[in-house]
Parts: sequence; C-alpha cells; structure tokens
Amino acid sequence: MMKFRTLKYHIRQGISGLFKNRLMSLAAVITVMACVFILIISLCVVENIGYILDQLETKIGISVFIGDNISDKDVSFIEQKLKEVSHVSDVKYISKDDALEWGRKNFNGKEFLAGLEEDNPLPRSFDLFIDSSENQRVVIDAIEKIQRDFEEDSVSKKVEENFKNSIIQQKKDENSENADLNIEQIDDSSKDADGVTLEEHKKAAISAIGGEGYEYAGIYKISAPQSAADSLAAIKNTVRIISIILIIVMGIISTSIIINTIKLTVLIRKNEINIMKYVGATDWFIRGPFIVEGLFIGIIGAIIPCIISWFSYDEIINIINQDVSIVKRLFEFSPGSELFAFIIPISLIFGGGLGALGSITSVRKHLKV
Amino acid sequence: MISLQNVTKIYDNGSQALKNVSLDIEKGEFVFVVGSSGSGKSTLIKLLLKEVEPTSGNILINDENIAQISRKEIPYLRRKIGVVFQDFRLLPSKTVYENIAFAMQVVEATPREIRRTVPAVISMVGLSKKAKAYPNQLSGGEQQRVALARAIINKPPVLLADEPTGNLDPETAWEIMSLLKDINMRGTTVVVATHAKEIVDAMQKRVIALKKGVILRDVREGGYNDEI
Ligand SMILES: Nc1ncnc2c1ncn2[C@@H]1O[C@H](COP(=O)(O)OP(=O)(O)OP(=O)(O)O)[C@@H](O)[C@H]1O
Ligand SMILES: [Mg+2]
Repeated sequence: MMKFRTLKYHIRQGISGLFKNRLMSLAAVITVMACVFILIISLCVVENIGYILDQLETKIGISVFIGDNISDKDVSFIEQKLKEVSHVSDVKYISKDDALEWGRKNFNGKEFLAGLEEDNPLPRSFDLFIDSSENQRVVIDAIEKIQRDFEEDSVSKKVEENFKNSIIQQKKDENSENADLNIEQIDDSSKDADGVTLEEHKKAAISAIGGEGYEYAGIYKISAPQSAADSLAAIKNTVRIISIILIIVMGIISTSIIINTIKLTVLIRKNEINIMKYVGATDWFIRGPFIVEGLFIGIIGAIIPCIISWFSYDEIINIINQDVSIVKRLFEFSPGSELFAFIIPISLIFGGGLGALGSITSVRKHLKV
Repeated sequence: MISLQNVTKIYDNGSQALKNVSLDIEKGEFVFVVGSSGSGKSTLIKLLLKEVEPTSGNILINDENIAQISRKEIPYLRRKIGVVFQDFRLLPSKTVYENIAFAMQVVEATPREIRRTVPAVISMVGLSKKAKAYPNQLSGGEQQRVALARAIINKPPVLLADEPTGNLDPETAWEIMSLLKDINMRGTTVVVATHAKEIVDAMQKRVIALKKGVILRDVREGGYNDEI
C-alpha cells in the first residue's frame, strides 16, 4: 500500500516536471489532443451509424397483402392473429385508399395513378414492424402459418357447405318427407350418397391446398426485404470492426508519440533516476512522478477536445439537419448528451491511460541500473 | 559482513575484470582497495551493489547471497549500502538540504524523521552553513561531503566509495578521508577504492591490492605498495 505522503510526493514531483519541461509538455498535450480529437470524431461517426442503422432496422417491416375477396371481418381476424405473433412490435393496417395515397406521395409519375380512385386495384395490406432484423425469419414463418390456417379454415367451411347442399339435394331427389332436413345434424362423420364422410372430404380438400396458390387468399402475399435485413446486419458488424481497429490504431500511434515526448523529459532526469536507484528507490517510486506527469498530459489533452466537440456536436447536427432536409425525414442523429455521456469517460480513460503507458515505457530503459 | 567466494566477472565484450576473487570483510572494518587503472576496483563495487552480476561465484552480504535476490529486492539491498563516487552525483536543481533529504524521501521516511535527521548529518559533515546552497555554489570537497551525507543518511551498515578523492586536491582529499574514518568509527563498514597512495600509506588500514582482476596482496595494516 502506497503511503499518502509518497503519493503527495509523486504528484508534486510530477507537476513540477510538467512545468520544468514546459515546451515538451505542451507538445505532448497537443499530440494527445489531436489523437483524442480523431478518436472522438470516429466514435461520433461510428455511434451515429449504429444509431441510424437501429432506426432503419425497425423501419424494415414485413408487408402482408390481403386478398381482395375476403370480408372485413376476416381482415380484422387476420390482424388480430398478426398482432399475437411474437417479436412483432407493431401492426399497421393500410387500406386501399392509404395505399393509393402513399403511391401518390412517393412516385412522381402521378399520371399512371390517375383515375384509380373509382376502381382501386391496390390491395389492402398490413405493415408489420419487428423488434430486430434477426427475428425476421421466425416472424415470417409465423405469418405463413396464419396464412395456411386461414386457407384451411376457409376450405373446410366451403367443403362443409357443399356437403350440406349435396345432402339436402340428395334428400330432395329421394323425395323424402323430411327434405328440409335440419343441417345442424350434419357432423364430420356424416356420409354422403357414396358413403364418404365429411371429414374425408375435408382432408382431401386440405391436402389439395397450395397447388396453385391459395384460392381464398386471406393473405395472398408476404413481402419481406430479407436482403435489406441481412445487409443491415452486415453493415453493423463492419462498423463495429472498423471502430475497434480505428481505436487500436489511434492508440498505437498516440502512445508512440507520447513515449517519444516523455522519453525526452526522462532523459533530462536520467541523473535523478540514477541517484534514486543508488539510494534504494523502488521502481514504482521512480515511475511515480512520471506517471503523474503522463496522466496530467493525457487527461488535459483529452479534456480540451471533449469540451470542444461536446459544444460543437449539436451545432453540427443542426446544420446537417437544416441543409440536407431529407435526412430529417429518414432518421435522427444520436443525441449529443447521450453520446457524450460515454465519449467523455472513454476519452479521459484513453488519454490518461495513454499518458501513463507512455511514461512507464519511457522510464523502463533507465530502471535497469 | 561482506564475503566474495571465487568471484569471476567477465563483461559481455569479453574483458575479464575479476578472476576467481575470494575475500572476507568483517563488520566495522575499514578497507582500501587499490590497484592500477583497469584492475577491477570499480567492478568489485558494482558487484556489491548488484549493478552487475558475477559471471561465477557467490557474493554474500550479511550472510545473504545477493546473486539469489530478485530484481524487485535490489532497492532493499541498496538501502543497506551507502555509496559515493568520484563525480559526487548530486542533483544540480536541489539544495544541499534537499539533496540529502531526497535519499530519505526515496525510502519513504516521514517528514518528521527527515526534519530531525538531515540537519544532524549536515552538521556532522560540517556543512551547516551551506545547507541552502546549490551544488554549483560548492567546492569539490564540499560537494563530496554532501554526497557522503546522502550516502549515510539512511544509516546503512556498509559504505562503499569509488575513488572519492579522485577529483580533489590532496588537502581536501585528506578531509574526506578523515570523514570516512569518522563514519567508520561510528560502526559503519567502509570500503574505499582509491589511487591515493599517500593517504593509504598514512592511514595504515587493511589494503586489498588488485592487479588485472586478481588479488595481489591483502594486508591487515598496510601501505599502497608494500612488498608481498
Ligand atoms: N561495462 C563494461 N563493459 C565492458 N568492460 C568493462 C566494463 N566496465 C569495466 N570493464 C573492463 O573491466 C576491467 C576492469 O574495470 P574497472 O572499471 O573495474 O577498473 P578500475 O580498477 O575501476 O579502473 P579505474 O582505476 O580506472 O577506475 C577493465 O578492463 C575495463 O575495461
Ligand atoms: Mg574505477
């Protein structure tokens, strides 16, 4: 455990070292400033790319197109089912009119949309938003199941109806007294004239589903930009890797510059180190003042760019938002307060660590006496 | 106190500084190490400080084999050994007082201990009036006194001196030597490597004479050039 007076000694010596080699200290501070500036700029860029990608990701939805022939009641039934799918964060209904309106807004060639109001060919649809693009596949599978269930249900109902009709017809043909046979009495085990049960009819019809698309088409099409989701995930990964490489490269460059700067101050104090060794100073005792010096250089060099970039960040974002107006409609930039809440500690640790590391490395050679 | 057993030192460039040297120095002894330039005197001192490692052989200080202590323990070895050099090695930016107090700060003494001990040692080496002077305001002899004060401030049992009078005129040299003798009288074991023939002859202390890395002579109360 280091004694408090020793710590005081280190700090006093370290600060006096800073002032004794004023020019060198200034050069080192400027070097750190430049490095931290570059670090902050790259962190801002990387963070904003991540932040924007997250927004785009939630905007990549799945479009579920509804067949024209089903009733509004069925549409709300499907909506309910879609809302129950896990990972779906929002379901938005787009009516035929909504679709036309959207088309008008987004396509300049309004002419080809002209006159569609009377007989709007655009389908009803749902836009589904999912929590993360990674879950797109699961969600699509679930929608496909809803699609299939709806179709089976519709087919079953149709078969049942036909069956009833044929039974009624049959009874009529037989001129039976109870021709107005109560159709409630019919169930899955009822048989038709050929001895085939309703259940068997249903099974046959269901197994025939899907040959040429769905006949009833509650959901006739699911459209998901799989490639967009994949490339977003890929971009996110690339950004992550680039940022790590960038930080490592910045670290190496600035450490080597700081090492060379502090080396000079160490060289000036070479005699002092030598004498300290002869009177029995431990290595850490000798390093102490240099570490303090390096920490000061690093932290001062980090604080200045932190303050400057913190104050200018919001200004720059405002300018971009004003000058490039489409930006504002597509996405938002990371808010400065949130961003700098982690950039400032990172920069201070980076700067301080750099300074301390630089000092330790610079002194090392002279400790071998 | 100090014991060398078959110590050989060959530097990386191949020069043989010490060849199979064995010697024992008792607690409280005063020993001159003499010999012409290149005979291995400084090498002997550097070995005791663990500044260089012996190529072979053992070096014991207080029954501790210093070949076996780790790098981390070297500072604690050196706290038991004071050392002065021909070139004084004072810090030019510190006053006499600060130069001496520095050696106590390094071993993490309390400010109270420092305030109490430093003036006493300064007065012992006769520099009370110059406590606030800087090294460049002092004569060579005075500078060496400061170096001596610094070497003994932490009360090491052993004091090594490598040509402490090499840069001094004969009269000043005598003053420094008698100061070394005073220190020895207070119980410190003192080893002085020197060329100062007259002083060695006059003081009649133990003399170890080296020649090309071997002990030529080791006499209890001898002179610089005694016959064998
Ligand atoms: N660091 C070193 N590297 C290589 N050879 C060395 C080194 N230090 C000393 N020597 C050699 O070792 C031998 C002994 O040197 P040392 O310095 O011990 O002699 P010395 O007796 O102190 O001489 P002087 O009276 O001139 O100070 C010499 O031949 C010298 O050249
Ligand atoms: Mg020598």
